[in-house]
Amino acid sequence: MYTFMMPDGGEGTHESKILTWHVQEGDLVNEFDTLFDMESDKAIVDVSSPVTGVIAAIHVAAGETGIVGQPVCDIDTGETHTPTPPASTPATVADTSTDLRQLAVPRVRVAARRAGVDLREVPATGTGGKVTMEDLEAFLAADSHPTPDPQPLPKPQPQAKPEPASTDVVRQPLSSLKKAANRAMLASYQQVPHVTIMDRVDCTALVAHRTMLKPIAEQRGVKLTYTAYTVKAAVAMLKKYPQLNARVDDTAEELLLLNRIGVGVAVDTDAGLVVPVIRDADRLSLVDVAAAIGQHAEVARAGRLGREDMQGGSMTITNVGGFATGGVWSTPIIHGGESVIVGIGRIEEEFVPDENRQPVLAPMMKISFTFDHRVVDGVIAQRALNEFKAMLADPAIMLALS
Amino acid sequence: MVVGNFARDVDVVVIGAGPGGYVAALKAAALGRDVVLVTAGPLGGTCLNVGCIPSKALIEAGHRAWNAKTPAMGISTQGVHIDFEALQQWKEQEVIAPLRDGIGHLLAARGVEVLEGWARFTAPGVLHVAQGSADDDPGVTLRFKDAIIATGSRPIIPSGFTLGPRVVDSTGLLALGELPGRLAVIGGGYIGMELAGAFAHLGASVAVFDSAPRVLAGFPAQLTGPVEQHFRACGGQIFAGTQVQSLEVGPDSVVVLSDDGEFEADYVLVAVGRRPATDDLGLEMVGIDTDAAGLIPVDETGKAADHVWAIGDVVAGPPLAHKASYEGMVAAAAMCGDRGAAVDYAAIPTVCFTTPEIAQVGRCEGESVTVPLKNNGRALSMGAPQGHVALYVEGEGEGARIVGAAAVGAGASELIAQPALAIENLLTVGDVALTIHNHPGLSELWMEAAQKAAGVSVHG
Repeated sequence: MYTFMMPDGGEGTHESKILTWHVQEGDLVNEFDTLFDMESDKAIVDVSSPVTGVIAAIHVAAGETGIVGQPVCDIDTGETHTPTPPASTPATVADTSTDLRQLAVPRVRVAARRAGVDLREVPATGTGGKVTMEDLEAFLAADSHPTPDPQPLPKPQPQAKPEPASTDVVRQPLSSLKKAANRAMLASYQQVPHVTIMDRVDCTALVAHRTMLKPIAEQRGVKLTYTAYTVKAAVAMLKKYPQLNARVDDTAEELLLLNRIGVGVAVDTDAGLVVPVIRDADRLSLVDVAAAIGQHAEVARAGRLGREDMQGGSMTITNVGGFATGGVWSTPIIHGGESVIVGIGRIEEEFVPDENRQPVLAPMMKISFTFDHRVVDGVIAQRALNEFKAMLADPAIMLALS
Repeated sequence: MVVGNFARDVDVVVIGAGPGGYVAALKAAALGRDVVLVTAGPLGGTCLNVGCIPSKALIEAGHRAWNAKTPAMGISTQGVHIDFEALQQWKEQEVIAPLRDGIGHLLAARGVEVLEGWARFTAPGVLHVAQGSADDDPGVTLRFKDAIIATGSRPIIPSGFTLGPRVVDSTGLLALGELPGRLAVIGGGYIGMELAGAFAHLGASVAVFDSAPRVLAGFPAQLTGPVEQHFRACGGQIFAGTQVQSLEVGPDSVVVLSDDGEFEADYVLVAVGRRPATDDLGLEMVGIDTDAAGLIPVDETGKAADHVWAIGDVVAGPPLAHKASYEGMVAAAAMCGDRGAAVDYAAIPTVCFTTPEIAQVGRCEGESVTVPLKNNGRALSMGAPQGHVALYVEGEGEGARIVGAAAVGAGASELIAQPALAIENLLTVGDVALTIHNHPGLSELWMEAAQKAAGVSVHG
């Protein structure tokens, strides 16, 4: 009999709600089959079985909350229906005492190190619990998008086969994490009353400021991006309007006010959009923020972002800038239970009136400001957006206040 | 630093041109780096010039001589003559020189610059290479980005012993101009026993002295027994558990005085071990502290300090050429930013070219499954029925993993490569048992041992 314990859904979580069971008592479950969907700190994760067997008992029903480390279900492995014995090191219980050289052949060990993967965490399908190259590849593919995507932008699947001539529609299975991401996105879209304000800001001073600072940042090995400025502008805004640094607890019907400021920055990767969080951005200098964004983006593109790298966000910034071809505003979907997401468009020169009502060319940035209407009223949101804009319009003030 | 000695900027410097250093240099060059290889000795280092390769040449010559002198299979030879000078010439010109030239060509083809001289760190990122005598030659100062230390090891000469024309280390013995009639070997480790066997085969009267209770003490007794037996059959004497008190060195001979009596020899080989060559490198200048044994502490890629790696005999592990080459490739790759590079071998074969040969790989602890060579058709047809192979496994039945292997007998040095492959690639006894092995062949011994371990043997 194998007792499955409640896994840790994220850094420091000690309980998680079970949303749905994919099996019921008496069902045969194969190793790696999904047992249940679990709601953790920020993500909905489906949890797979580390063993093959029959579900003997379920201890935590759907809708109930399980305590990390307490039994969730019992799986009778005595009636194994496959000739392969269960892997000795299930995915959720990494045993650091295992000798990696007993787990995989040299080529796989090299590939795992290159990818920064601990082979003990990779579910093994090889004989005798061997981790194969295919196991590692599958693990890497599944691991690279562990939280819900904030935007409904499914990436084209590079390996998708051309559609057969006989059918007009091809069904494509989704990875379990992609499914969880989709569910979270849908839940956010359906349950959160989104309101989007579209605006634009004159970036003349911002462009000059960045041009002045860029070589200084470069001397420190840092690429100074406009995104870093928007993170600092968000910090100044949240400081002035702390009521936006909040999230709604649906179950308790209460408002959770956050004391720390973290700003998520959406990063496009091969495996989809991920949102690393620049935590305590109020305590970092502008150049430090830029450095942190660069580092997080690099880690994210390597597919190595940890769950903890994506937690602790107050709001999110999503910058389609370079990809926007023209006057693009969007209506971003609020991410990860936060209250605000700001979409940044491209900076383009436009004619705007100067103080003498004469047209002058100015670099203008397009901003889409989406907020949870339950958290603040429209007036507060507009004032907050005004503050955000004022900061970007005058970076000297922004740096003094953020 | 000498006035007027301007530092030259280089990308990568590798110190030592042995099987660790030259391989590291080739690998780094293949990965696009500009490499300077600094060496105090000839290309190929100890292994090629005064170690593994020349000793194997003399050992092979010893086999040929011994077989000629020993009637077997109805064949006997009269008047076997050994031209030792011709043998040395063959060893130098036909064995060592082509291999050394080959390394030179490989380095040249990869654009590696070879700089002769003695290297010493003088500051972080700075290496001074002394050439000629320091008085008239200021040498060369290199300012490097990355360095790999591959200076290898030197024979240990115990205090009280002084090398000279009659008292030699392994380098001196391999270069002797005459075949000694009587040879004393102090130290019965693998170097001592390999050379003792070779010279006994060539006709010398050889005595081995070792303070340990038996020779080849690093190997289990069931492997070393046949070696001792054969050595004695060649007229060799073994004084084990004996302390050599002193050497009385005369102009034409040396008397070895030991607890077990004395032995007069034409030459004495001192082969009590080797010590890493790390004492005169100025390691403190780059922030490296060696341990009590003189070894350089390194991480899993061989990194010893910022921008400095160390490989081979100067780091922990068995002082073997193939380990040095492996570590050289790992260090060079890591130095070039390959995050996959790490020293993480599960199995490293150790071979002793005694007669018969001894070889071991992996973890050889606890119970083993053995198959004797006298059951093998190829061994008998070679006239070499002595010895056995042993497999060490973990687990039960056909799914048991091979974790170690040992062999003593003809061909052990070649046989050991197969279990090394099996261990590193996590093969089970079932896998090996179901793999067709050619018949007749010594490698069938592994198939037989695997079948036995899996409980599916048809012979045993």
